[in-house]
Amino acid sequence: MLKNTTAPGAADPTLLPLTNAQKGLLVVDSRVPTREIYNQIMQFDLDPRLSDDAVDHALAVLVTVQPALRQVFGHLPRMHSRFTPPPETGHVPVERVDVPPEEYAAAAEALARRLGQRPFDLATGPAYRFGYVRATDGSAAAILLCGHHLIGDGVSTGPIIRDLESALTSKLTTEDIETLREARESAFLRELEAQNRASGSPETAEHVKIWAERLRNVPPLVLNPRPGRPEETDFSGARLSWLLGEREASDFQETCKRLSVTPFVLLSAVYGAVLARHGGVSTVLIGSPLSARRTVRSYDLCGFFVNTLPVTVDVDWSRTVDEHIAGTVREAVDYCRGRVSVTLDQLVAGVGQDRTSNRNPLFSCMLAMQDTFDGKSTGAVVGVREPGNGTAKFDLWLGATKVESRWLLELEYDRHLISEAVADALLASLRTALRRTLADGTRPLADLFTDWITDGDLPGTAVEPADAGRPAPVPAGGLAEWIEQAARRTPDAIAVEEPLRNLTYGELLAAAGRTADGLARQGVTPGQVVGLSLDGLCDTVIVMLAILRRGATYLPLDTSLPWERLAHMVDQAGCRLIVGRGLGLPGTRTTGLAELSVPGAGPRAVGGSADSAVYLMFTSGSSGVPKGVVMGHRPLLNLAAWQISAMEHDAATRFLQYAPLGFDVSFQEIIPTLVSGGTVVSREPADRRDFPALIRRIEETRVSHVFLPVAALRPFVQAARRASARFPGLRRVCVSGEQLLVDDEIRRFFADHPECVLVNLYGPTETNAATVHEMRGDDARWPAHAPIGRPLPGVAAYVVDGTGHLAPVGVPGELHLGGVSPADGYLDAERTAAGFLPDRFSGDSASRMYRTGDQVVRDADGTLIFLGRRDGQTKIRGYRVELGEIEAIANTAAGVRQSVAVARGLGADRELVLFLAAEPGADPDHTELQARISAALPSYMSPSWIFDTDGIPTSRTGKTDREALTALADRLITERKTNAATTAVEYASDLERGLAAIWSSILGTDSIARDRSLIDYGAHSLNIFTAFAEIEEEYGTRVPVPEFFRSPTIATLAELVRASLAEDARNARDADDAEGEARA
Amino acid sequence: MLITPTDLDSRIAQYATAEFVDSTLIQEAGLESLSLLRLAVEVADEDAEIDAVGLVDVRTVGDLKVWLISLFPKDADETGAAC
Repeated sequence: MLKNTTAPGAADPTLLPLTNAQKGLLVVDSRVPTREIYNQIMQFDLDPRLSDDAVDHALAVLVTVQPALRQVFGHLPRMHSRFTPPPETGHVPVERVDVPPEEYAAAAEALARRLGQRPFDLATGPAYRFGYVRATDGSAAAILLCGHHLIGDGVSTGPIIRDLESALTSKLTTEDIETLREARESAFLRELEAQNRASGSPETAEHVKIWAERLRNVPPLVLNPRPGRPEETDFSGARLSWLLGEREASDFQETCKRLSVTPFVLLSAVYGAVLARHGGVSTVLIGSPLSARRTVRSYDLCGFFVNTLPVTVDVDWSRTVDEHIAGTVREAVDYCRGRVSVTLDQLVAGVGQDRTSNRNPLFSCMLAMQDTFDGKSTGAVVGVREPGNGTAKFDLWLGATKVESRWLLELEYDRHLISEAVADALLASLRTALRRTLADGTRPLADLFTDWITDGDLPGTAVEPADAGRPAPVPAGGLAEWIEQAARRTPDAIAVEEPLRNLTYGELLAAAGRTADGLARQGVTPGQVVGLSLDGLCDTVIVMLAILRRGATYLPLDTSLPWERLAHMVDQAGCRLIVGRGLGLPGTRTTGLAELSVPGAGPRAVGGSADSAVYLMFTSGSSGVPKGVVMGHRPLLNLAAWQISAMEHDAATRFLQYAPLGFDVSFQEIIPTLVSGGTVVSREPADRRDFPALIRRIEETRVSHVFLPVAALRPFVQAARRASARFPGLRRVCVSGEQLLVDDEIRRFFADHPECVLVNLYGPTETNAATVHEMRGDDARWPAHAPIGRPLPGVAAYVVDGTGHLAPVGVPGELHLGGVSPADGYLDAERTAAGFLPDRFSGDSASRMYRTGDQVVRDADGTLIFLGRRDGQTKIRGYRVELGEIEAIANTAAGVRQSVAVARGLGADRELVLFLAAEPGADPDHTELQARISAALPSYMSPSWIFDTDGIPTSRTGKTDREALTALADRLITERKTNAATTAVEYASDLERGLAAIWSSILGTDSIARDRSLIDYGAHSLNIFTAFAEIEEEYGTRVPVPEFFRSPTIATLAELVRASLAEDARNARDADDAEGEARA
Repeated sequence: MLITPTDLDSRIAQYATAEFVDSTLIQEAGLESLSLLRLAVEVADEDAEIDAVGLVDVRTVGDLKVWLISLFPKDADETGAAC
């Protein structure tokens, strides 16, 4: 083997130039650890009667007359290849295998694997190796050629077979061979030059520019999307295959004729649709090797003369199959064929994608047609195929090989990224889609697919009801009756516990009864809505039960909400009576509990019924007004029954009541506990945001169950750790509200509390909790991105993909919740019709399902994983926010032409940013707008920043480009913070300066003014806890949180710290005095 | 080497799997991409270049014949590629 001994700089005539494609492949090859992924294997089935000598001779001849095989490659002085001298007979690397006939197939497969698994040394060569397998009874034989992709492509099969046949049948003399060798080597060089001329031409450069522009905005295709999907791969692969039946094969041919398209176009069209469905996108790039051969003589050559280029398949699910194939896809393929001199590296450079991982740039899926051997052999070679070698260069590779006039479709997938179940689902989709395409091309593309149904059941695979032994009987009288049954069993047990008051079940029963009568006297009839705005948990529970007893519906009214919003709520709800604090809302009377409880004559309340709605809760609405969700009995009875069993509720249950009553979580804290005869424990006197105080309360009261918003879980476990608190009685910590991200700190808490289970619940207000995923401290590994789990018994969870069908494993789709879970609906009939759809999957015409708008994906064992949303709904610290609701308010402000709200930041730091495009000549007043928003919307919906912008950017499809705005927001905010840092701020004392420093580091901003609300700088309920912990550490005193919220400024905080230190000093003196006296 | 239209028809017929006339669509005649290139290789000058881009607009057998003719070798004193 010759080495490259040419002095650098000297032009060496034996160095051959490389094409761009070759250079690209050489570079990539030198970078991957598993270089064998570029090994290609071809198997030539032979006439088994050929002698060993004939085969040896033929192989040497083949290598001689096909110079590509004799290439070796180098990088200096510039990338090149050169030919090594022709081998002598017997000096060609061949592995021979002779086996009994019954082992032949397996031996051939094993040989292919062995040949393919070792990488080649491209610098010294050879870049090929042969195998020869034979059945000992002479019934079968095959030559296997394994070569690096750099030396051959699909079109090379033909020339190789022709030469092999000539060589095997000894048609060539030694002179013939030598002449042929020279001619071929010359032709090879000419072809390289021709290709380089073409790809270097100005015309090609122009094509690259335009094409790159078209590709730039195509979203990446991600098969089997899930959080934590590996960025890098180890390229290990597996193959699934499908050989078309004879009928299918002829239908295939007929369809191509009818539509006047090539098999490549047809397969690209169907494959593209399958990829679009499975990836949840509407445009797919399929990489396909297109022959770039230019010279006539090159068609006799083996060589790597292809350019792999992306075919853009645009999928419109409503378009007909025929249009998709013969229109859209044919044009897309022609587009590529007309630009075949463009090389992939030119496109990648033009698109400007950054290649930070070892994933393929531009496209992750490939289609390779192996139809370059038409099977018309003259005898010596009777068949050819290309086995895989256990690797995968792409996420998904589809190979189409003609085998005896039928197509063999092989799906090779990257095992690291795509599981076997997902690959099976892909093949199933491909099969169905192709069959349906051949059967009827007039149907819409979406109909190429079907609902994915596993094991004959609808995939609402529900959680097994926990067999804790007591199925709770659910009475017809609804929740009121259910609770009363429990109350009558243990009248002396404590139902509700507050710091200064306990309420027994007997007392609860009596009080609720009296109150219900009182409501009746006040004119409340079954089905009406009664507002609830009481302080005190005992009173609240009494009135809740009374309202239910009356057959009415309770509407929690949070007095911290803007008056305007509350007025709207009661008006929409038709609520005339409010029990609790006087709110002065138009159209309503307010009555106190005392008034209602006075025993008096008048109608007695009936026992309540399961037909009435239980509560009415409002949630953010995208059009600017909140939506009222009317929740009926059925879903809640089902939920409570499940919870009692799954969370092991009984008379010993002590559930901390944490959630505001207007959050549907409050239902889960209160009702199932009461039905079980347990105790609902008030969080008072702890403020919800005061985690140290909450920790103390939980320790004191020894609650067994706690339900927190996801956003509060980390502060909670952190506060527990700082306080060195343990909760031996805690059995369940439930969370819900947004995506749960589990970190080591959270895991550690549950490892420290092995009796305590972390329960991740999911469900919009429109269904209450619908799915659940439990995690226990002894689980081997908790996923960082916690799944939302499986549906509760009675709940149907449908994942509906882009085609409108039930999605297979690994395919993202929109979650629809059916079964017993949907609420009655919204107050607004139109919105109800839009959100609550007939359940077309259940086979029951009366059932409905709620479309959540949440994108999820199901994994192989049925567990649901939340992926995000595609619309303007987001969560801010667990609160549901429709960005449109903020925009609607902003659009009413003077001078605002258009507004767009976006959310930026992660987890607890997520905040809202509002962009304003002004009317020409107008200058909207930000302060006035902020005031307008605060008057109308809850505090968590207030934007932290407001920016003016000249125009609202739109995406390729004409929709508002929120991503671009979010990126802009990030930049502008960084700018503002940096600018703020340069302005000097005055503080009144070192204490103030020290406190400002603590806040600075937490909020990531400098120059905090001493008298400006810290909320303006980004402080919120969760980072406040962190700040207070640091203040306590720094100054050695605990500052009360509620005081701070009244005026959250540095100045106030300094006052509070001083006061707190003074009090500590006083307490210490008093203690000393007392001690001194005691001793005296 | 002069190739007559009849010659072309008979060459094409060797690859076609169905009867055809000039207006027959390529796929209807059963002509695959590979066959088109094989035909081109047969008729074109050995030293020629075949720009496959031209194939994109070939829809009918008639189009094919026009394209093939464009690949025919020129006179002996002209060199160069036929595109």
